[in-house]
Amino acid sequence: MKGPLHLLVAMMLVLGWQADVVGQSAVSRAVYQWDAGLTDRAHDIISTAVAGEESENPEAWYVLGFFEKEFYKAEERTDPESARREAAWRAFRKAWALGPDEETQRELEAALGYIGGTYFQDALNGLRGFTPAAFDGMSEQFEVYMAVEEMLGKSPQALKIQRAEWERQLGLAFGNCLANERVEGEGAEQEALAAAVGHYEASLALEPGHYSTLYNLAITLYNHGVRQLKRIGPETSMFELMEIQDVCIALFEEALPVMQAAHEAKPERLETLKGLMTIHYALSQPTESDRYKRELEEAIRKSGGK
Amino acid sequence: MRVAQPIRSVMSRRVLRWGALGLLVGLIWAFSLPQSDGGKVDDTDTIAIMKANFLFHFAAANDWPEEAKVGTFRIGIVGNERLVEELVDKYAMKPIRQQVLEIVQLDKKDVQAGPPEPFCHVLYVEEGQGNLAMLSGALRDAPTMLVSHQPGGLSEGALINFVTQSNRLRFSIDPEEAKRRKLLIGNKILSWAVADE
Repeated sequence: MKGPLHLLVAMMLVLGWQADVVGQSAVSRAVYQWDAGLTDRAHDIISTAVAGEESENPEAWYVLGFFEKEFYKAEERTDPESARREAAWRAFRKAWALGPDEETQRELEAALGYIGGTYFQDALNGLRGFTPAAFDGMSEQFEVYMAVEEMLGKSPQALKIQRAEWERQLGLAFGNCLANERVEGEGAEQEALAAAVGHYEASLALEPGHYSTLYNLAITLYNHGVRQLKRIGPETSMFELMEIQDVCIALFEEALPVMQAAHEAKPERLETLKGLMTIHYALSQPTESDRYKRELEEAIRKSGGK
Repeated sequence: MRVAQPIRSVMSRRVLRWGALGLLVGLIWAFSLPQSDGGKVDDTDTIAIMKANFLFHFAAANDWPEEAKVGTFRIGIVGNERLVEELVDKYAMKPIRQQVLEIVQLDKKDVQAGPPEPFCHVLYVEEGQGNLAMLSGALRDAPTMLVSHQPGGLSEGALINFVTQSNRLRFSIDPEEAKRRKLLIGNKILSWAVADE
């Protein structure tokens, strides 16, 4: 007799639980399951709900995003291309667009801040040890971060400054690839140079006259010319020598007004004086080169030789 | 329609953590990106690189009389250490026809009284480092290619003078001086020469 009795008790318990749960929203049921540790079940409930009757419920989308975010943290935190994080971002965005209530909004903002922070960190990780192949992925990560920042109310001016800084960093990253010869082949070098210059120019369009951007752009252009010249050797024909010289002089001529602008932005900086001295020399303009050399020596003397 | 309390409380705790993370992100933005300038100007002597290659071509693409085709082929440089370094680094010991190229570093004093010893097939004199007219006269008809880089270098007696045109390094040749020294200027060299200024 014990067997049927146990079955009856179990059925009553299940029915009791069902009665408790029936009538509750999908959101509540999903949260209940989640808190009970049944995370996959909770995810299924809320996914089904947002695909159907809860599709216009911001709280449901927020809960889905929360679950995805937690899965991301548990399973894919080190994956910069995490599908879970992408799903969380989509769900949070949807929740935001549907106009959540105040409490959900507050939690959504914090969740978005977290997600945006992880995207930003991955974009930063891409900058360190940068290779051109990583560019697309890190750009997408940065764009998500910026979208989050915009949603969270960052001012257009602050966003502009951040984007200018990002573009400058990308210019530096491509420039460093060239400087450290991490790109192979003339075509790849040209692409890297064009990318570096393009990002610096994009940064300058947002922050005209920015000293560091101007200086680094000038350095990238000039040093790339010098790298070409350094490849000249006994095997270089006279024709090739003339061709290389033309390419280099064009780069030096491009670098000169940029270095000049950097110098005008911060006339006290020694590195621009040295830059101008060097570029004029490379352009066979000894009088101008000597003028900047004297200015540099004078500036060093005034600073006590430091 | 409210989310049940348990997850709310968990979430509330996380709000604080996320808030702190947001602040951290701001700090990361401020401090983790390189604030200093990315690079330094490459102070390699670009003119020396080009001059060295030109001088190598002057040695390799022109022809010397038979009596000068024995022993080592010498390029003497008066007063330009970086040019000497570039030549030694990339071109020394390279063959000039049957001869081995030797780079000779010379000082102003070495050419004060006349041509240097030992004999140099090519003698480059930096501006202000030697009296071209005196050297040219003292060399008489010797097969030395005197090269300069100064205004009026050819009229002072140089056979080849470096000039600047449109910010580019070019060279002019005095064919009469070449004939006098029994040096045969190669067609490639002649074709790249520009008019004397």
